[in-house]
Formats: sequence, C-alpha cells, structure tokens
Amino acid sequence: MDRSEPVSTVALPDEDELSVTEIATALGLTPAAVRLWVREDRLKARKDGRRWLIRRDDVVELLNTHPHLGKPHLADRRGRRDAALAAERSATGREGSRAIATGVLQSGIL
Amino acid sequence: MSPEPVVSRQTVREAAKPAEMLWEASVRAFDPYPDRLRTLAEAAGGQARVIQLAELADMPWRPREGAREISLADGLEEIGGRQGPPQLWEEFDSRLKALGVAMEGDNIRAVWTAFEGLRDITIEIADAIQPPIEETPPADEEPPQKQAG
Repeated sequence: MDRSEPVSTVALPDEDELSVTEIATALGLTPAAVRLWVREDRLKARKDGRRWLIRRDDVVELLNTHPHLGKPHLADRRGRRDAALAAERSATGREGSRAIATGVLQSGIL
Repeated sequence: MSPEPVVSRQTVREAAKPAEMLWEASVRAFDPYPDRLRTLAEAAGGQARVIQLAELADMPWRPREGAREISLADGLEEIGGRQGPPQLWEEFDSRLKALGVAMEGDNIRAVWTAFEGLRDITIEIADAIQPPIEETPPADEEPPQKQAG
C-alpha cells in the first residue's frame, strides 16, 4: 500500500484549522475525547479566543496512523464497520486486524 | 398480564449515554499504562451496569454479528506494547473473546457478566503493573473517657 495516501475516509471540513467540535462531529466522537487527545499531545492545538483550533493536516495524520478512529463518510452501518476494518488492515498490512468494540449499548439494547 | 419491569427503559437510556461515552473514550484513548487499563475497567463496569439495568427493564439483547472478532486496539492488541504479566493478558484475551461470543448471542445476562469479567481482569493487570496505594488504616479509636467521680 502507498503510505502517502490517506487511509481515512472521514469527511473533515475543508478548512486549514478545525475546532474541537468540528473534529468530534466528523469522527462521531464526543468533544471530550478530542480534548483528551489534545491534553495528551496527540493533537496540537492553539487558542483562538474561547476556542481551541487544530490543524486539519494534524488530524489527517492522526487518522492515517489510527484509521479506526475515523467514521467513514456516507456509508451504512455495516459498510462503516467493513470500511474501518479494511482501512485498519491496509494500515497495518496484516490480516486479522479486528474491528473496534464501539457502539456496544447502541447496537445491543437501545 | 405481565408485571411492570422494575426499571424503566427511560432509566436505561439515561444511564447508557455516559456509559457509552466513557467506553468509546476508553477504547480509543491513548492514556499510558496503567491509567488506561483503569479507565477501561471503569468503562467495562459501566457497560455491565447498564446492560444489567436493561435486563431489569426486560429489554432484549440484540446479537451482534462478528463480535468475537472485536478489538480494543491501540496498545491492547496482542502484538507489542503490552505491559504486565503475560498470563494475565492471556486471561484478558480469553475474557475479551468470551465477551464477543456473548455479544453474538441473545443472553443478556451473559453479556453483562462477560463485561464484569473483563473489568476484573483489567483491574488485576493494572494492579500488577502499579499496585494501588493502600489506604492508611484508621487509628484505633480512643476508648471512651471514664466519667470522673
């Protein structure tokens, strides 16, 4: 696989810098999860008034190294799971990579 | 007529939201060991509690196809990066697999029990890496003063 190609299929807003909320929405996560990555230096952020802004390129880089974080764009539920699995397999270059255990309660009881 | 469930579905839905958020954050977080394991254990316990509530609300468990292949990823995979006793990690893998198998079935009790099992082994690994700080036992209470006179 060509490592220069992004493996993520997440649809991020087409801006140089993104807010925590924009990233969280694109990835289907909570803003708290994105802020956690900032606190842990997984993503660099700068303060703009009351908002934290993060470079889009940094988010793409993070998604390319951790493709399962992304929520593939405009895919149905099964397709999202398959796409995430395929992306992870592509990124790791090994078979047997497994889907991440998310949405457990949503799919199980709600 | 069947009796009312002891827990309402609304209660389950309200409990599910924060539990799911914690779970999502814990399986995707990058916390260093053993903090990450403790967060994961707390999240697994949260999932177990909500699913237990769901059972009390007479809600069915919907089987999740392919769940035995689930992963918790990022440092928790079998390859590389694991800290702690290998035999505990073997048990962790076994319990994670058991969780997946339970999720593929429709026995809701098996699912929350499996989450509890995952929680317990995760705490064991975290404690093996960094033993929890023992709380100082409370000092013996002074015996009551005898009344003079």
